[in-house]
Amino acid sequence: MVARLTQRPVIQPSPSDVSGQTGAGDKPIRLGDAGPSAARMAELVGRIAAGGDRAAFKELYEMLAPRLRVMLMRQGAPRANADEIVQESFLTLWRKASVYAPDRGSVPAWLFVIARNLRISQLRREAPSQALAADYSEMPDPDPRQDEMLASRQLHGIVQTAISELPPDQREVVRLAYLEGISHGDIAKRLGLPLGTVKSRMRLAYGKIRASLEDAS
Amino acid sequence: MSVTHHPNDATLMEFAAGSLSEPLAIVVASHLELCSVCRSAMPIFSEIGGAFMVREVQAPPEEEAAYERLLARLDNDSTVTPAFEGRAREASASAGDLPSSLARLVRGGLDSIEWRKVIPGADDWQLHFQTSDGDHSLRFLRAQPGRELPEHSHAGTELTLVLRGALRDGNKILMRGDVTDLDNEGTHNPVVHGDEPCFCVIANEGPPRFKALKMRILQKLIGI
Repeated sequence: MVARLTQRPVIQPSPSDVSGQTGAGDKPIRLGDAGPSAARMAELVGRIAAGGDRAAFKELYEMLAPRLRVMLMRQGAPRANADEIVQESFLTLWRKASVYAPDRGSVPAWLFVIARNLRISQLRREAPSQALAADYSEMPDPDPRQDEMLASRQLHGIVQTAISELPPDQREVVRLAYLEGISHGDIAKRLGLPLGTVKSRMRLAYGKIRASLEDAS
Repeated sequence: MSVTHHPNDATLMEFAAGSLSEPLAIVVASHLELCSVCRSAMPIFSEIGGAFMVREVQAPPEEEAAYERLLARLDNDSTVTPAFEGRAREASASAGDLPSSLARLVRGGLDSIEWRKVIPGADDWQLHFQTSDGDHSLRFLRAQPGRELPEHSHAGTELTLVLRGALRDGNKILMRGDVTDLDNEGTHNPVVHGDEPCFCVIANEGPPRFKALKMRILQKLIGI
Protein backbone atom coordinates (compact mmCIF):
# COMPACT_ATOMS: atom_id res chain seq x y z
CA MET A 1 0.00 0.00 0.00
CA VAL A 2 1.31 3.41 -0.93
CA ALA A 3 0.16 6.39 1.06
CA ARG A 4 -0.95 9.49 -0.72
CA LEU A 5 0.80 12.44 0.82
CA THR A 6 -1.05 15.69 0.54
CA GLN A 7 0.91 18.89 0.49
CA ARG A 8 -0.38 21.18 3.16
CA PRO A 9 0.85 24.58 4.19
CA VAL A 10 3.12 24.41 7.21
CA ILE A 11 1.98 26.70 9.98
CA GLN A 12 4.77 28.26 11.98
CA PRO A 13 4.48 27.78 15.74
CA SER A 14 3.45 30.89 17.60
CA PRO A 15 6.09 32.74 19.64
CA SER A 16 4.58 31.29 22.83
CA ASP A 17 5.74 27.86 21.71
CA VAL A 18 9.32 29.01 21.72
CA SER A 19 11.10 28.27 24.92
CA GLY A 20 14.62 27.16 25.69
CA GLN A 21 16.51 30.19 24.46
CA THR A 22 19.92 29.64 23.01
CA GLY A 23 22.91 31.83 23.65
CA ALA A 24 24.74 34.00 21.14
CA GLY A 25 26.90 32.03 18.77
CA ASP A 26 24.73 28.91 18.95
CA LYS A 27 23.18 27.61 15.81
CA PRO A 28 19.59 27.00 16.84
CA ILE A 29 17.48 24.67 14.83
CA ARG A 30 14.77 26.75 13.26
CA LEU A 31 11.34 26.18 14.69
CA GLY A 32 8.78 24.96 12.24
CA ASP A 33 11.56 23.21 10.39
CA ALA A 34 10.42 19.68 9.68
CA GLY A 35 13.76 18.58 11.13
CA PRO A 36 16.08 15.93 9.78
CA SER A 37 14.66 13.63 7.13
CA ALA A 38 12.96 10.56 8.57
CA ALA A 39 14.17 8.45 5.64
CA ARG A 40 17.76 9.52 6.26
CA MET A 41 17.52 8.67 9.97
CA ALA A 42 16.08 5.23 9.25
CA GLU A 43 18.91 4.63 6.77
CA LEU A 44 21.50 5.62 9.39
CA VAL A 45 20.05 3.17 11.93
CA GLY A 46 20.18 0.52 9.21
CA ARG A 47 23.90 1.23 8.70
CA ILE A 48 24.53 0.92 12.44
CA ALA A 49 22.67 -2.39 12.50
CA ALA A 50 24.49 -3.71 9.46
CA GLY A 51 28.05 -3.03 10.57
CA GLY A 52 28.36 -0.73 13.57
CA ASP A 53 28.86 2.31 11.34
CA ARG A 54 30.22 5.04 13.60
CA ALA A 55 29.90 7.82 11.07
CA ALA A 56 26.20 7.03 10.84
CA PHE A 57 25.96 6.96 14.63
CA LYS A 58 27.64 10.37 14.88
CA GLU A 59 25.34 11.87 12.28
CA LEU A 60 22.28 10.63 14.17
CA TYR A 61 23.70 11.88 17.44
CA GLU A 62 24.25 15.33 16.00
CA MET A 63 20.71 15.40 14.61
CA LEU A 64 18.89 14.22 17.69
CA ALA A 65 20.98 14.42 20.87
CA PRO A 66 20.72 18.23 21.29
CA ARG A 67 16.96 18.17 20.95
CA LEU A 68 16.63 15.21 23.26
CA ARG A 69 18.70 16.85 25.98
CA VAL A 70 16.78 20.12 25.82
CA MET A 71 13.49 18.21 25.94
CA LEU A 72 14.61 16.23 28.99
CA MET A 73 15.62 19.42 30.77
CA ARG A 74 12.24 20.97 30.02
CA GLN A 75 10.72 17.88 31.56
CA GLY A 76 12.52 18.78 34.76
CA ALA A 77 15.70 16.70 34.55
CA PRO A 78 18.74 18.53 35.95
CA ARG A 79 21.53 18.98 33.38
CA ALA A 80 23.62 16.06 34.67
CA ASN A 81 20.65 13.67 34.60
CA ALA A 82 19.62 14.84 31.15
CA ASP A 83 23.17 14.23 29.89
CA GLU A 84 23.13 10.76 31.40
CA ILE A 85 19.77 9.88 29.84
CA VAL A 86 20.96 11.15 26.44
CA GLN A 87 24.05 8.94 26.70
CA GLU A 88 22.06 5.92 27.82
CA SER A 89 19.49 6.50 25.08
CA PHE A 90 22.14 6.53 22.37
CA LEU A 91 23.86 3.47 23.85
CA THR A 92 20.50 1.72 23.68
CA LEU A 93 20.01 2.89 20.10
CA TRP A 94 23.45 1.48 19.22
CA ARG A 95 22.84 -1.87 20.92
CA LYS A 96 19.34 -2.30 19.58
CA ALA A 97 19.73 -0.88 16.09
CA SER A 98 19.09 -4.33 14.65
CA VAL A 99 15.65 -4.58 16.28
CA TYR A 100 14.51 -1.16 15.12
CA ALA A 101 11.45 -1.74 12.97
CA PRO A 102 10.77 1.15 10.57
CA ASP A 103 7.16 0.07 10.17
CA ARG A 104 6.60 0.67 13.90
CA GLY A 105 7.58 4.33 13.75
CA SER A 106 10.31 6.82 12.97
CA VAL A 107 13.72 6.98 14.63
CA PRO A 108 12.80 10.10 16.66
CA ALA A 109 9.66 8.34 17.94
CA TRP A 110 11.76 5.30 18.91
CA LEU A 111 14.30 7.50 20.66
CA PHE A 112 11.50 9.39 22.40
CA VAL A 113 10.19 6.10 23.84
CA ILE A 114 13.67 4.89 24.86
CA ALA A 115 14.39 8.19 26.63
CA ARG A 116 10.94 8.30 28.22
CA ASN A 117 11.46 4.87 29.76
CA LEU A 118 14.91 5.78 31.01
CA ARG A 119 13.61 9.04 32.44
CA ILE A 120 10.79 7.30 34.27
CA SER A 121 12.95 4.53 35.63
CA GLN A 122 15.47 7.09 36.82
CA LEU A 123 12.72 9.14 38.41
CA ARG A 124 10.72 6.29 39.84
CA ARG A 125 13.40 3.64 40.25
CA GLU A 126 12.12 0.21 39.26
CA ALA A 127 8.83 1.59 37.96
CA PRO A 128 6.90 -1.57 37.10
CA SER A 129 4.99 -0.09 34.17
CA GLN A 130 8.02 0.86 32.14
CA ALA A 131 9.87 -2.35 31.44
CA LEU A 132 6.99 -3.62 29.42
CA ALA A 133 6.23 -0.37 27.71
CA ALA A 134 9.78 -0.51 26.38
CA ASP A 135 9.19 -3.92 24.94
CA TYR A 136 5.95 -2.99 23.17
CA SER A 137 7.60 -0.36 21.07
CA GLU A 138 10.10 -2.91 19.87
CA MET A 139 7.89 -5.92 19.51
CA PRO A 140 6.40 -6.67 16.12
CA ASP A 141 2.66 -6.88 16.54
CA PRO A 142 1.02 -10.02 15.21
CA ASP A 143 -2.05 -8.03 14.30
CA PRO A 144 -0.93 -5.15 12.15
CA ARG A 145 -3.54 -2.60 11.22
CA GLN A 146 -3.91 -0.52 8.16
CA ASP A 147 -2.19 2.54 9.54
CA GLU A 148 0.93 0.55 10.29
CA MET A 149 1.42 -0.08 6.63
CA LEU A 150 2.45 3.50 6.26
CA ALA A 151 6.20 3.67 6.07
CA SER A 152 7.75 5.38 9.08
CA ARG A 153 8.79 8.45 7.13
CA GLN A 154 5.22 8.93 6.01
CA LEU A 155 3.89 8.37 9.51
CA HIS A 156 6.40 10.88 10.84
CA GLY A 157 5.65 13.47 8.16
CA ILE A 158 1.90 13.13 8.42
CA VAL A 159 1.96 13.37 12.22
CA GLN A 160 4.19 16.45 12.01
CA THR A 161 1.87 18.16 9.56
CA ALA A 162 -1.20 17.19 11.57
CA ILE A 163 0.38 18.65 14.74
CA SER A 164 1.17 21.91 12.96
CA GLU A 165 -2.44 22.19 11.87
CA LEU A 166 -3.98 21.60 15.29
CA PRO A 167 -5.87 24.53 16.79
CA PRO A 168 -3.49 26.29 19.24
CA ASP A 169 -5.46 25.28 22.35
CA GLN A 170 -5.26 21.60 21.39
CA ARG A 171 -1.64 21.73 20.35
CA GLU A 172 -0.71 23.41 23.60
CA VAL A 173 -2.07 20.64 25.85
CA VAL A 174 -0.43 17.94 23.75
CA ARG A 175 2.85 19.86 23.74
CA LEU A 176 2.77 20.24 27.54
CA ALA A 177 2.16 16.51 28.00
CA TYR A 178 4.86 15.32 25.59
CA LEU A 179 7.55 17.96 25.69
CA GLU A 180 7.27 19.01 29.31
CA GLY A 181 6.07 15.70 30.73
CA ILE A 182 3.24 17.29 32.72
CA SER A 183 0.27 15.19 33.86
CA HIS A 184 -3.20 16.12 32.66
CA GLY A 185 -4.15 17.18 36.18
CA ASP A 186 -1.19 19.56 36.35
CA ILE A 187 -1.89 20.89 32.85
CA ALA A 188 -5.43 21.69 34.02
CA LYS A 189 -4.05 23.57 37.02
CA ARG A 190 -1.46 25.42 34.97
CA LEU A 191 -3.96 26.57 32.37
CA GLY A 192 -6.79 27.14 34.85
CA LEU A 193 -9.06 24.68 33.04
CA PRO A 194 -11.25 21.81 34.27
CA LEU A 195 -9.54 18.41 33.89
CA GLY A 196 -12.35 17.35 31.55
CA THR A 197 -11.52 20.20 29.16
CA VAL A 198 -7.86 19.22 29.04
CA LYS A 199 -8.81 15.63 28.31
CA SER A 200 -11.30 16.54 25.63
CA ARG A 201 -8.69 18.73 23.89
CA MET A 202 -6.29 15.77 23.99
CA ARG A 203 -8.92 13.49 22.50
CA LEU A 204 -9.81 15.98 19.79
CA ALA A 205 -6.14 16.45 18.92
CA TYR A 206 -5.57 12.71 18.69
CA GLY A 207 -8.71 12.31 16.59
CA LYS A 208 -7.38 14.84 14.07
CA ILE A 209 -3.95 13.21 13.91
CA ARG A 210 -5.58 9.83 13.44
CA ALA A 211 -7.87 11.20 10.73
CA SER A 212 -4.88 12.59 8.81
CA LEU A 213 -3.30 9.13 8.87
CA GLU A 214 -6.50 7.52 7.67
CA ASP A 215 -6.81 10.07 4.85
CA ALA A 216 -3.30 9.21 3.76
CA SER A 217 -3.64 5.44 3.77
CA MET B 1 -12.83 -12.98 23.17
CA SER B 2 -11.45 -9.66 22.05
CA VAL B 3 -11.20 -6.63 24.25
CA THR B 4 -13.81 -4.00 23.45
CA HIS B 5 -13.52 -1.32 26.14
CA HIS B 6 -10.37 0.74 26.12
CA PRO B 7 -8.78 3.59 28.05
CA ASN B 8 -9.73 6.83 26.36
CA ASP B 9 -7.34 8.40 23.89
CA ALA B 10 -6.35 11.11 26.37
CA THR B 11 -5.21 8.44 28.85
CA LEU B 12 -3.23 6.57 26.19
CA MET B 13 -1.66 9.86 25.18
CA GLU B 14 -0.64 10.58 28.77
CA PHE B 15 0.83 7.08 29.01
CA ALA B 16 2.80 7.54 25.79
CA ALA B 17 4.02 10.95 26.89
CA GLY B 18 5.31 9.39 30.12
CA SER B 19 3.29 11.70 32.35
CA LEU B 20 0.75 9.21 33.72
CA SER B 21 1.11 8.37 37.43
CA GLU B 22 2.57 4.95 38.16
CA PRO B 23 -0.59 3.06 39.29
CA LEU B 24 -2.53 4.26 36.24
CA ALA B 25 0.46 3.48 34.02
CA ILE B 26 0.56 -0.10 35.37
CA VAL B 27 -3.11 -0.59 34.51
CA VAL B 28 -2.60 0.85 31.00
CA ALA B 29 0.48 -1.36 30.49
CA SER B 30 -1.60 -4.38 31.62
CA HIS B 31 -4.41 -3.46 29.24
CA LEU B 32 -1.89 -3.14 26.40
CA GLU B 33 -0.71 -6.67 27.06
CA LEU B 34 -4.27 -7.90 26.59
CA CYS B 35 -5.43 -5.56 23.82
CA SER B 36 -4.03 -5.70 20.31
CA VAL B 37 -6.15 -2.73 19.22
CA CYS B 38 -4.51 -0.32 21.66
CA ARG B 39 -1.11 -1.95 21.16
CA SER B 40 -1.28 -1.31 17.45
CA ALA B 41 -2.18 2.35 18.05
CA MET B 42 0.85 2.95 20.30
CA PRO B 43 3.21 3.76 17.40
CA ILE B 44 1.00 6.74 16.57
CA PHE B 45 1.06 7.97 20.15
CA SER B 46 4.85 7.59 20.22
CA GLU B 47 5.19 9.31 16.87
CA ILE B 48 3.56 12.40 18.35
CA GLY B 49 6.43 12.56 20.85
CA GLY B 50 9.03 12.12 18.11
CA ALA B 51 7.39 14.76 15.94
CA PHE B 52 7.25 17.30 18.77
CA MET B 53 10.85 16.62 19.67
CA VAL B 54 12.23 17.29 16.21
CA ARG B 55 9.80 20.02 15.32
CA GLU B 56 9.47 22.20 18.35
CA VAL B 57 12.68 21.87 20.30
CA GLN B 58 15.48 24.20 19.38
CA ALA B 59 18.86 23.36 20.74
CA PRO B 60 22.52 24.31 20.43
CA PRO B 61 24.80 21.53 19.21
CA GLU B 62 26.09 19.15 21.88
CA GLU B 63 29.64 19.60 23.11
CA GLU B 64 32.19 17.47 21.34
CA ALA B 65 33.37 16.16 24.73
CA ALA B 66 29.95 14.60 25.37
CA TYR B 67 30.19 12.61 22.16
CA GLU B 68 33.72 11.50 23.08
CA ARG B 69 32.43 10.24 26.43
CA LEU B 70 29.67 8.34 24.65
CA LEU B 71 32.19 6.69 22.31
CA ALA B 72 34.36 5.73 25.27
CA ARG B 73 31.38 4.01 26.86
CA LEU B 74 30.58 2.28 23.61
CA ASP B 75 34.12 0.90 23.47
CA ASN B 76 34.05 -0.32 27.05
CA ASP B 77 30.61 -1.75 26.94
CA SER B 78 30.15 -5.40 26.23
CA THR B 79 26.68 -5.83 27.76
CA VAL B 80 24.12 -6.12 25.08
CA THR B 81 21.26 -6.97 27.41
CA PRO B 82 19.85 -4.06 29.34
CA ALA B 83 18.50 -4.82 32.81
CA PHE B 84 14.97 -4.28 31.53
CA GLU B 85 14.92 -7.39 29.42
CA GLY B 86 15.81 -9.71 32.28
CA ARG B 87 13.14 -8.22 34.49
CA ALA B 88 10.44 -8.48 31.84
CA ARG B 89 11.26 -12.11 31.15
CA GLU B 90 11.19 -12.98 34.82
CA ALA B 91 7.77 -11.40 35.16
CA SER B 92 6.22 -13.13 32.20
CA ALA B 93 7.42 -16.48 33.50
CA SER B 94 5.20 -16.15 36.58
CA ALA B 95 2.29 -14.36 34.98
CA GLY B 96 -0.48 -16.97 35.39
CA ASP B 97 -3.68 -15.18 34.50
CA LEU B 98 -2.24 -11.82 35.45
CA PRO B 99 -0.67 -9.60 32.81
CA SER B 100 3.06 -9.51 33.51
CA SER B 101 2.95 -5.82 34.52
CA LEU B 102 0.84 -6.95 37.49
CA ALA B 103 2.43 -10.37 37.98
CA ARG B 104 5.69 -8.67 38.90
CA LEU B 105 3.83 -7.08 41.82
CA VAL B 106 1.57 -10.00 42.79
CA ARG B 107 3.91 -12.92 42.70
CA GLY B 108 1.51 -15.76 43.31
CA GLY B 109 -1.27 -14.50 41.05
CA LEU B 110 -4.89 -13.72 41.89
CA ASP B 111 -5.43 -16.92 43.84
CA SER B 112 -2.67 -16.17 46.32
CA ILE B 113 -4.21 -12.90 47.47
CA GLU B 114 -5.32 -12.64 51.10
CA TRP B 115 -8.61 -10.87 50.65
CA ARG B 116 -10.23 -8.58 53.17
CA LYS B 117 -14.01 -8.35 53.39
CA VAL B 118 -15.31 -4.89 52.56
CA ILE B 119 -19.06 -5.48 52.33
CA PRO B 120 -20.96 -8.75 52.00
CA GLY B 121 -19.99 -10.32 48.68
CA ALA B 122 -17.07 -8.02 47.99
CA ASP B 123 -13.47 -8.35 49.15
CA ASP B 124 -10.50 -6.23 48.41
CA TRP B 125 -6.76 -6.14 48.72
CA GLN B 126 -4.67 -3.01 48.62
CA LEU B 127 -1.24 -3.34 47.11
CA HIS B 128 1.05 -0.60 48.35
CA PHE B 129 4.32 0.04 46.62
CA GLN B 130 6.91 2.72 46.54
CA THR B 131 8.84 4.39 43.81
CA SER B 132 11.23 7.26 44.37
CA ASP B 133 8.54 9.78 43.44
CA GLY B 134 6.11 8.64 46.10
CA ASP B 135 3.86 6.02 47.65
CA HIS B 136 1.29 4.39 45.43
CA SER B 137 -1.44 1.83 45.71
CA LEU B 138 -3.49 -0.40 43.51
CA ARG B 139 -6.72 -1.94 44.70
CA PHE B 140 -7.73 -5.44 43.74
CA LEU B 141 -11.37 -6.35 44.08
CA ARG B 142 -13.15 -9.70 44.14
CA ALA B 143 -16.95 -9.54 43.99
CA GLN B 144 -19.59 -12.24 43.87
CA PRO B 145 -22.19 -12.65 41.09
CA GLY B 146 -24.91 -10.01 41.22
CA ARG B 147 -22.97 -7.92 43.72
CA GLU B 148 -23.44 -4.24 43.10
CA LEU B 149 -20.28 -2.28 43.74
CA PRO B 150 -20.74 0.86 45.80
CA GLU B 151 -21.65 3.89 43.71
CA HIS B 152 -18.94 6.49 43.74
CA SER B 153 -17.39 9.33 41.85
CA HIS B 154 -13.73 10.31 41.69
CA ALA B 155 -11.35 13.03 42.59
CA GLY B 156 -9.31 12.23 39.46
CA THR B 157 -8.93 9.62 36.78
CA GLU B 158 -9.88 6.06 37.73
CA LEU B 159 -9.07 3.03 35.63
CA THR B 160 -10.66 -0.35 36.34
CA LEU B 161 -9.33 -3.39 34.50
CA VAL B 162 -11.29 -6.64 34.55
CA LEU B 163 -8.97 -9.60 35.14
CA ARG B 164 -11.43 -12.48 35.51
CA GLY B 165 -15.23 -12.74 35.25
CA ALA B 166 -17.36 -9.85 34.01
CA LEU B 167 -18.87 -6.55 35.12
CA ARG B 168 -21.88 -4.66 33.86
CA ASP B 169 -21.53 -0.90 34.07
CA GLY B 170 -24.65 0.83 32.78
CA ASN B 171 -25.26 -0.82 29.42
CA LYS B 172 -21.67 -1.97 28.99
CA ILE B 173 -20.46 -5.50 29.70
CA LEU B 174 -16.81 -5.63 30.65
CA MET B 175 -14.82 -8.84 30.24
CA ARG B 176 -11.19 -9.73 30.87
CA GLY B 177 -8.92 -7.02 29.47
CA ASP B 178 -11.69 -4.42 29.30
CA VAL B 179 -11.19 -1.10 31.02
CA THR B 180 -13.45 1.61 32.37
CA ASP B 181 -11.81 4.99 32.30
CA LEU B 182 -13.52 7.61 34.41
CA ASP B 183 -12.47 11.12 35.24
CA ASN B 184 -13.70 13.36 37.99
CA GLU B 185 -16.94 14.11 36.20
CA GLY B 186 -18.39 10.62 36.16
CA THR B 187 -20.02 8.35 38.70
CA HIS B 188 -20.54 4.68 38.07
CA ASN B 189 -22.27 1.75 39.59
CA PRO B 190 -20.88 -1.51 38.24
CA VAL B 191 -22.52 -4.87 38.96
CA VAL B 192 -20.93 -8.32 38.69
CA HIS B 193 -22.30 -9.94 35.56
CA GLY B 194 -22.77 -13.69 35.02
CA ASP B 195 -22.30 -16.65 37.37
CA GLU B 196 -18.65 -16.27 38.28
CA PRO B 197 -17.00 -13.90 40.74
CA CYS B 198 -15.37 -10.94 39.09
CA PHE B 199 -11.76 -9.94 39.79
CA CYS B 200 -10.55 -6.52 38.82
CA VAL B 201 -7.81 -4.05 39.61
CA ILE B 202 -8.45 -0.36 40.16
CA ALA B 203 -6.01 2.53 39.93
CA ASN B 204 -6.94 6.00 41.06
CA GLU B 205 -5.50 9.43 40.92
CA GLY B 206 -7.66 10.36 43.87
CA PRO B 207 -9.64 8.35 46.44
CA PRO B 208 -13.23 7.45 45.49
CA ARG B 209 -16.01 9.67 46.84
CA PHE B 210 -18.86 7.45 47.91
CA LYS B 211 -22.42 8.67 47.76
CA ALA B 212 -23.74 6.69 50.74
CA LEU B 213 -22.91 7.88 54.24
CA LYS B 214 -22.30 4.28 55.35
CA MET B 215 -19.65 3.87 52.70
CA ARG B 216 -18.03 7.17 53.59
CA ILE B 217 -17.72 6.01 57.21
CA LEU B 218 -16.29 2.65 56.09
CA GLN B 219 -13.86 4.53 53.88
CA LYS B 220 -12.59 6.42 56.92
CA LEU B 221 -12.39 3.31 59.07
CA ILE B 222 -10.78 0.81 56.75
CA GLY B 223 -9.45 2.93 53.97
CA ILE B 224 -11.36 1.57 50.98
